[in-house]
Amino acid sequence: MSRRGGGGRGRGKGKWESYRDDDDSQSGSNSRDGGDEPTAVPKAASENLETKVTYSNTDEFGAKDYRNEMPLKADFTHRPLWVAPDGHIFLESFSPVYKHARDFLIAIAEPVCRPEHIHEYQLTAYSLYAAVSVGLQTNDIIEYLERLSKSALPEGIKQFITMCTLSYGKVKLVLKHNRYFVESRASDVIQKLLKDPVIQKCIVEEKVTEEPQQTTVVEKITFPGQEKDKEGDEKDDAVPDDIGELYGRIEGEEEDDAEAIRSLQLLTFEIKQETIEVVQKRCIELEYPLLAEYDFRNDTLNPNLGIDLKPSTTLRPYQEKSLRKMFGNSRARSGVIVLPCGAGKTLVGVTAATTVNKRCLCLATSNVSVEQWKAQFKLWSTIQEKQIIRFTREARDAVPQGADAKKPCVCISTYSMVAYSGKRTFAAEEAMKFIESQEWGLVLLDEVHTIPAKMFRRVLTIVQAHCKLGLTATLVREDDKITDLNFLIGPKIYEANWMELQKAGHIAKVQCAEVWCPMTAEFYSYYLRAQIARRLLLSVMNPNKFRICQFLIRFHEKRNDKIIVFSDNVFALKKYAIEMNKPFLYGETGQTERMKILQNFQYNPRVNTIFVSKVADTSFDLPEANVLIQISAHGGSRRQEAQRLGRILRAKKHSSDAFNAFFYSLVSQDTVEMGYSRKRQRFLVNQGYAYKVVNKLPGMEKEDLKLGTKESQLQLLQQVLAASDADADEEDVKGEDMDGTVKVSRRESSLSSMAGASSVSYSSRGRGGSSAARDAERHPLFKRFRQK
Amino acid sequence: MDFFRMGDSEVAPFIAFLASMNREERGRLISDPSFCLFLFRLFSPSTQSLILSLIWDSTQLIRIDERIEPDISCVTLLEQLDIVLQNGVNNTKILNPIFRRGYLSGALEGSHRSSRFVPINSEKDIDKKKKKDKDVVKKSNERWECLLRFLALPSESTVQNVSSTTRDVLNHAGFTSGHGTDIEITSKGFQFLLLSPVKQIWSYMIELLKMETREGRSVKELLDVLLRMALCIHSEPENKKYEVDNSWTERQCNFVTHLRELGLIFIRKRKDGFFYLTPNLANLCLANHDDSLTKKSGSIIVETNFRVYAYTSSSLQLAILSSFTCMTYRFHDMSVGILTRDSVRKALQVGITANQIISFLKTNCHPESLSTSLPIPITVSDQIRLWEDERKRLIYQEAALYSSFESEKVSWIKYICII
Repeated sequence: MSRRGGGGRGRGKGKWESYRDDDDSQSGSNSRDGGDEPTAVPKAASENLETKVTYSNTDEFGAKDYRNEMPLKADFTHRPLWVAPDGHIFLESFSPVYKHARDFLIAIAEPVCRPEHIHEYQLTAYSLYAAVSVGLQTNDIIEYLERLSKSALPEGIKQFITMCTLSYGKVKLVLKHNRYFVESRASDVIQKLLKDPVIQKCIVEEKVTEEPQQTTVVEKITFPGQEKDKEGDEKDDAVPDDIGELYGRIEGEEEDDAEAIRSLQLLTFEIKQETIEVVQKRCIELEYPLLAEYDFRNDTLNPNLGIDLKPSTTLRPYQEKSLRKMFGNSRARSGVIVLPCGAGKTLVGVTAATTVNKRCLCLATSNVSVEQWKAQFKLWSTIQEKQIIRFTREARDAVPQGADAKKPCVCISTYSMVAYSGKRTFAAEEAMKFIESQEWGLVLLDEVHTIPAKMFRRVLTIVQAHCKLGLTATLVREDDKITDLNFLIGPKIYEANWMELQKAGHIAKVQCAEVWCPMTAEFYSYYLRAQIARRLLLSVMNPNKFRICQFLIRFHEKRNDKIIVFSDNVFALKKYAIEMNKPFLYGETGQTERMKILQNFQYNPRVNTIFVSKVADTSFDLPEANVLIQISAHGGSRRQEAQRLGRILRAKKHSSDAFNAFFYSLVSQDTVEMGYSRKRQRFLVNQGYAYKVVNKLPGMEKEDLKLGTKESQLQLLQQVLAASDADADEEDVKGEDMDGTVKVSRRESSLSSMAGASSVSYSSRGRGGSSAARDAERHPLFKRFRQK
Repeated sequence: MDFFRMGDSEVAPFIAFLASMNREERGRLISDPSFCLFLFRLFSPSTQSLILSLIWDSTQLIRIDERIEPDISCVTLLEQLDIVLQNGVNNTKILNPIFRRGYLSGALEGSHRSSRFVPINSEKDIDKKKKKDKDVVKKSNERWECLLRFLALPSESTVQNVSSTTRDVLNHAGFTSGHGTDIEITSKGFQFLLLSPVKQIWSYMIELLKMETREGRSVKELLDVLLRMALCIHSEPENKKYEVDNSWTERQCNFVTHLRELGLIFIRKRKDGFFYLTPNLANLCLANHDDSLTKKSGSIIVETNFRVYAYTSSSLQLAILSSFTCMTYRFHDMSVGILTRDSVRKALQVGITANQIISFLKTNCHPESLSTSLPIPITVSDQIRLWEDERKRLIYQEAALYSSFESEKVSWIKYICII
């Protein structure tokens, strides 16, 4: 586990944004090692403005000085952007043209941080690729960026945009009338591809055709959302004319692709179905990656599912917007939609499934979330019970046989099930054969950030799908390089702004707090001498942390709140929960017991608090919960922090201006937890969340809390020291580990892990010689030590 | 004139300085009519009326009990300044006759005349003059900013813009620490930067005078020039061009050069033989100075993610900001920085306090962030305070270390240290 090395790596750089999360570098490396062939990624994708541009100047304060390269325009106050030559873009959220700029920027750049006043974005090769794939053209991007910018657009930026977008998105792979076509509007590109010997072999013998006038009428796809937001059309006097005008054009273009098709010649050639992969690979080598689009309307080979959203189902504006981008030109694009937890990702997935209306495979991370997906499908859509097939280790529906196998269905499973490479049971084998044999219209990938590329590739080789939709709340961004994963699924289609959803009341308004728990002297004394794993355990078991946790639980139970307590450490989880007499749930808890606990938590007014381990990090839908207390966590993982916050983000009934949900992170002072905590918060802080540091809880001294006496604290210390090394470790979530392989748990050699304990025994041996009389004189505290 | 009295109990820094001077030197100053006139203007209205009534009261006696609560502190202050003297007989106090004479003659002459500077009337072309006025204002502000910039960010480039005298004054005042190339701003210096321009100029002048006094030189010569200049401004603000006095001593000439460096006066070329008074000099003496003039609307936005955006091109503002912020981007109208633990600690280490940082960010906060929320997010101000507090967690205690024991029971002592 990379947790150990992580501390030093981040610190050297000093700046928040340059910190690379432990987790993510880990999954990054996962994707590269492993015996698989390296996935082809176009060269331009690894271009990076930050390293490429050499800034000639730094000003006297050590900042990058771009004044020479960026002369201000005369009417700069009316324009909202600074576009720095290194690709960072700053947007004023209070500018009158903010709305215009926001939608545009989210399409072409990655959001770095979006707090209240000034948002920062970054242009990356990947984000530009995504922009192109949703239909933006090179010239439009440059022109519009130029108009929004307060100063002239730096030359380097223009070149970068051109370089990254010229070859992207020019060629599409379309499945139409059950034949595969390569489509492009750029004749030079088509000519180049046609001349390529590899591709020539794959072409179905028929000359390049200039597509005759579209015969099929492209009808616009509509979603049952609230009425379309007209925000863009409002005339605002403060908006410079050119910005408003161009905005209209870009918006229009996105929606009326049909018109664009008419105005431009569309060149297509057909390729043999069995050679698709060859063509795809070759095109990437030629720097013209194929955008996969699925013309599901004209797919007559695969039968329709025949489901629809229930009439009562309405989409929120942002859900509708994200789907409009996905189905922008009446075809389905593959890609990732990023929405905060609790903002209704599932509904987006269900709507996508009903829109495509073909066979749908839905992959989730855990069995619990498979159940939840099923429930959601039934809740939002008109799907029949028999159309849903669950395929998990524990709950398994019968695999359709014979004629039924041909009928379309929605199949819900977990990643680990599908990607499992070991020996399967007969029933599982049957199910896998079923999945492999189908031609899926849509694959929904829940919590897509959690899957390493290796596993994902395995899933993809098994599953034949026309369109892939990834759903996540925390798209990993720390990796500057475009990971294979991103190219495997598709570009990011949409990313919502957490703060704006919060303001609109779509997600709960959360007060985040970091509570500092001072270490007791005895615990700290041992802490200083212990090995890292033991240190973590000592910091989690800090009696003051326990007391604060108990106090917070009592406080919130009195307010009739529903509380989840998270602990990655199972030893601590059990200890805390048993001590406080609360139900707890972790990796080894069976499925039925899990469901029972969760249901009790949801409906039983006497069960207001549950303790959970990291199995509940993702996909556990607990709509009632509004207080979250985190007593131990996985190193500095930002993703985990955001996922956990997501557990309480679902909009609360009594929403008002006040905070209606609380997130407490308990941190033992002066321990490694402090540093980890800082790192963990970065993602959320960049989304505009503010952590309040609490180092004193008023009213605590009045409460009767456990572990108040020195004796009880020392007793606890003994237990902690007596705990086996296995206990000190974090939980390894076995079967459901994302690798699909059963992980060999990280118990390091007994040497290092024993050292912490051995020092204790060493000193006790030394003391063994001391006389009883001397012992009597000693401070009672030291007697405690001797007992060890 | 109240702005000289910061709060009721505080007196103008110059008066406080005067009180600290030795009696002999003060006596010499008081004999000068222009000084009396200037000093009078620094007093609060109640003190002024007390003095006026004493001047015209033929008995020139104060019986404290007889007056209607004449603010005892006024009287004691005046006593400290030797303006009111103990009469000796029947416990009465009288106005210092020298001061009375000085003030009267000054008042009769008029402040302008008593300054004894010769104005040059150049009403030939008014347009040109206006333009020049603007020029003077700009130049004088630039000069003063040079000093502040040096203070905020002592570096090789800023050091070139200030004279050695200025550096000495700043160092003596405790605004900077270190010598030569290794100069750093102190907490006191940072406090100085946060003051309004009026207070800045005053406290700088006082520090200069203190330094002179400390080195055993009389300040009368210098004050003579300074106060007379100040009087000129007050009398006829529209006429700001004066002949250089040939009778100035060398020391006075140097002082004038220094004033020129500070931007308090403006001399285009030495051989011109005349100088302009600048509005900055007016800060030293204008009664009822409009404080709002000096208060510019702020430019800084602090975000919850510790980023700082400064809508300014003033390198002084940026210099102050950069003393506790890690600056990352510089555009024409805006700069970006980030508050990090390291950058704030750097400031804390030179003695700048968390409160100073927070108050700077608050007073310079951008109207946009005022309109929507708190001037700076609570989490940020809390964090800055926490960064300060974490430096104060160690408690030092006297202790004795016994070492070189033979047995290993010494480890007990180590335990005690840890606990």
